[in-house]
Amino acid sequence: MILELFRWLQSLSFMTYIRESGLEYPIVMSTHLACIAVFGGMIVITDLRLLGVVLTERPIADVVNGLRWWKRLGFVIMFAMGFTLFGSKAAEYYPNPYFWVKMSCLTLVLIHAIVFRPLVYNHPEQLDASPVIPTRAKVAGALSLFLWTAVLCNGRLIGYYEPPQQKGHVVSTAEGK
Amino acid sequence: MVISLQISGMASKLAILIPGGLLLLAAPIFGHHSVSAEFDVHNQNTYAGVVTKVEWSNPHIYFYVDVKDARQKVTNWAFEGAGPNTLARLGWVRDSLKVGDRVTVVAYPARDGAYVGSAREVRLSNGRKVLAGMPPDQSPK
Amino acid sequence: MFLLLLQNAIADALNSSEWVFPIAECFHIAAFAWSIGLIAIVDLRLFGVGIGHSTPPQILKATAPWTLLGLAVVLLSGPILFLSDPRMYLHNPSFVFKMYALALAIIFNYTIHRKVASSDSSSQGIRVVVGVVSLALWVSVVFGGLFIAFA
Repeated sequence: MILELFRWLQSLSFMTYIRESGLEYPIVMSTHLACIAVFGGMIVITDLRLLGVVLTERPIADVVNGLRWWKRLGFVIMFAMGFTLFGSKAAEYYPNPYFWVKMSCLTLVLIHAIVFRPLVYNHPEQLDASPVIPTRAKVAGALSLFLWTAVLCNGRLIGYYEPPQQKGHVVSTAEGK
Repeated sequence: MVISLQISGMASKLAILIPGGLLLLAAPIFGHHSVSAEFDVHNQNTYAGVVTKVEWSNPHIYFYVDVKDARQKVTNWAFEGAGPNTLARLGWVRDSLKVGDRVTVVAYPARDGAYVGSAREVRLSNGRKVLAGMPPDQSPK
Repeated sequence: MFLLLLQNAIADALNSSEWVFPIAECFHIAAFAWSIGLIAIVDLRLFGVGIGHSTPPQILKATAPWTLLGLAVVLLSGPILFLSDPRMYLHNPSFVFKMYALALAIIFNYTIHRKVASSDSSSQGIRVVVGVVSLALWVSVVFGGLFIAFA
């Protein structure tokens, strides 16, 4: 049933257009990658700040509050590009284990946001008020880093997967001989 | 102080990437890295037959050819070519190859014996030849 | 001749395990996300946005060693990828573009960008231009890299 949905998705004219395009497909993918570079880096840096590793001269609140909307902007663009890439060949992604691991990790990222926004990200000044960075902030940062790294690696590996069933096949064998 | 910060930076990067890497162990099949890893680049072959399907798609096109061998056995071979952008630069556009066309495909066969090949060049029945844009040696210059 | 043999030997070693290239690539991408993200944070400050209550020199000083570390990983992992098939890359117009863009981006980052970002007195106009050029150069490198497979 999901496969049917995926087949329908990739049959949409926009998705077909992207799949068969010359420049558009690589431009969509490059934009996805550029977002990973510009905004993904900000996500990593925020998380490492929560872990107390990087930018320790700046208050956590300045880092978290200052980068919040940039990260969200980046995520929106990244997601839009990613969905386009997926949609253009959805049926081909269906058997791809890297795709499913990536989607699972993204779902975990969503859960992470729901759990940790009220605890950590929405009140970063509380973290600065504490003499040591509270454990919940470190946990949030570490989990986020782990999940996003997994998203990145699995995302790249999507392109390496070859389904085990063979594309070519015997049509008819010799008659007599 | 700076050095210890840098080491802890590297350590944290590794600590991040290694568990992230463990998630890579979902990895079953890894066909698609380089042409020489998946295909036998020392055994270029020629396949003649009729085009049955063309998937004009990124990042690689696939076209399928019913190939009849000397003993009349017909096999449907799948051939991989570069993406539409690369092919356009080589003069190969969407309708250059149509279902029903008689073609001769020069390709490297898959190492594992599957009926899949990495196309080097396709010769159409009107004498025209197009390069398939795949490595090695075929990026447009 | 010797270099050719050496290249082939290295290429064979790199291609012998199907994991070397993907792992190097993951490090390459993670490292450039790291470095370009850090540079982008400096550029945001040049635009007057991003991390609050700080000046560009402060952000530059806090990020510079980390950026360098990231670029080091990028420049170590890149050649590993390159050596898997040097001939292909050298003939690939997108790769060639990427190398020029990378050289420009690195030079710009450690000359004009550094000068303007470390000055408390650079004008807002200059800061914006420098930030835009910086982002444009690094994004070009990323695009150049991706287009290698589509050139």
